Amino acid sequence: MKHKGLTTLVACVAVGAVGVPTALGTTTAKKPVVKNVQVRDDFYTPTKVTIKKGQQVNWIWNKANFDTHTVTLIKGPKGINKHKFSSFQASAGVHWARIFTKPGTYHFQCQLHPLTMNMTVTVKN
Amino acid sequence: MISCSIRRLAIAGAVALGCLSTAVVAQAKPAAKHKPATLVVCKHGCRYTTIQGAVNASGKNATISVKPGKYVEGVIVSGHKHDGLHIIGATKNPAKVLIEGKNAKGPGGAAQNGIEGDAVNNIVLENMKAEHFAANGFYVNHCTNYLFKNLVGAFEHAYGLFAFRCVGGRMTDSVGYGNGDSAFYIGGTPFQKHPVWSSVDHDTGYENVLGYSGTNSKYVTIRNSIFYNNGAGVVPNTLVSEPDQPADTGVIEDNQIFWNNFDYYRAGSPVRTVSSGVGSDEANYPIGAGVILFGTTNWTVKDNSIFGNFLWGVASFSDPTNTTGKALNTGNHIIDNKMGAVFKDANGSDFFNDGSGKGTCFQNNGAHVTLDLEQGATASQIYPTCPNSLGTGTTTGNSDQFGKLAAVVLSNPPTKQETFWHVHKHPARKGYKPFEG
Repeated sequence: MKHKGLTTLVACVAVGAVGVPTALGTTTAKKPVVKNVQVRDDFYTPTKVTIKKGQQVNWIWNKANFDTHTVTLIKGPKGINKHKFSSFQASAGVHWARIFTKPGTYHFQCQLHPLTMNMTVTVKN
Repeated sequence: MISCSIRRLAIAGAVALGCLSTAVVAQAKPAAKHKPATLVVCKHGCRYTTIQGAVNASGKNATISVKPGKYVEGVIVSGHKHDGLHIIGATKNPAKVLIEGKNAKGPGGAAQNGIEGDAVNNIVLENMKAEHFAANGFYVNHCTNYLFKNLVGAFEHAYGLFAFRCVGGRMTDSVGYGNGDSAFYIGGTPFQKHPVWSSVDHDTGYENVLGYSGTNSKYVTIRNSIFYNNGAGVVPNTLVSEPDQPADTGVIEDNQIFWNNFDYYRAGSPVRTVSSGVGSDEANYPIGAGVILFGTTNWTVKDNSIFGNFLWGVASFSDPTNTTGKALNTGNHIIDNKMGAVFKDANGSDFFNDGSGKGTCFQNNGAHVTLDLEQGATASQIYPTCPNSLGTGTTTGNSDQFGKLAAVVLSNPPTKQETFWHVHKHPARKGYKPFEG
């Protein structure tokens, strides 16, 4: 039992499922479907992600990066808390994940590279 | 290297909300007066054993005194509630207050910066060393009037000392070495109607990819500093990826810029290159250059000592791959410098100009200057005296000059750039040893 619990915890941490804020500002321990986005110098890939409500996007800063980047929500569905959908600043070797529970289109941008780093997450019902 | 209209709107909104809530609080209860606190950090026996702990407990204009020790953490100072914060090493020897990036954790994984100041005005960082961070040693952004003094940034993945989108500030008495981009960086400077200048002075940068780099850097004076043994010494530059192009209005004066022949492209180099290529052709940064004005407008290079750089002493050229046309070599003045012959330590050529833009000029740099002049180009057109209005007016310069530039930056593999060097033994210089990779 002990080992199983540890394994579950490790698995949850690995997918960023523990304590990840949702669009409703609550947290969940349920393992969501995750789509990864690479944050690189100076672009996101992919730049368009479509998910279903309740699924998660995980942004991964590439280890080879030199520039500092953010994932900052510029525009989202009405009433969305932009602050909760805006990452810290980072360069390399980190990740940041969010679960999306509110349908709509989310436009993200790097605050430091606003001309070249833009992407959308479309959340469907 | 880094539309703010949306961000400005967001900031304006936040400020407006902040003012509103402050006003409400002020009506309910007058703010209590209190003396800004001094918080002491040390490894054992102090109230705070981490710098972050003290930062979290601090308010406006507080002073944090950090006793000697090794602090394995990445410190984040966030927001105007920390305006005026001083974080000061308690000894004049910065190496004794070491902020270590190896094994330091931050949000989402590895700690990114030794100390990061996000939207903190008048922040002062002094007497500390940061090394081995995933991004930068000391980093401030969206601020006014920072002071970096007596700091060391060593073997950071990107920059030693880094200021982005700040208005006014100073980096002084500091050292950067082994950094994957540059020792010192001021970039993304907003355009200002009444410019507040920044200063890089009395600093030393060596064995970095670049000594100074500033993308879209503005209103900066770089003076009384030493840049040696870097891939290139001082490189203000214009890139489309970062806001407020171009690099506009700066002065590089009274510096010693020599032996910048560090070929970090060589296998086994102790420093990894930041450059994965610039533009669609994936051009690589030139190595072996003292000063490179890359798509800059109205920069002045004067009264410097520039010698022993195996490719160029000072190079000025546009970036024709920048589709906005803003990376234009225009209005740059290279005047009153002492070049290779004065020191019996030649540059490959003292000057390189691509003939693009308008009004870039060269004057009073000594009788024995050497010009990189390709066959088909004429000195009076490419290296005119000041002032003048010569140049193509566009980012495409003289085709022969451009051909040389392209050959250098498109060298494949990039270490082949060394074939363009004029290698020679340098006269001895007390306290310095040449380092070429």
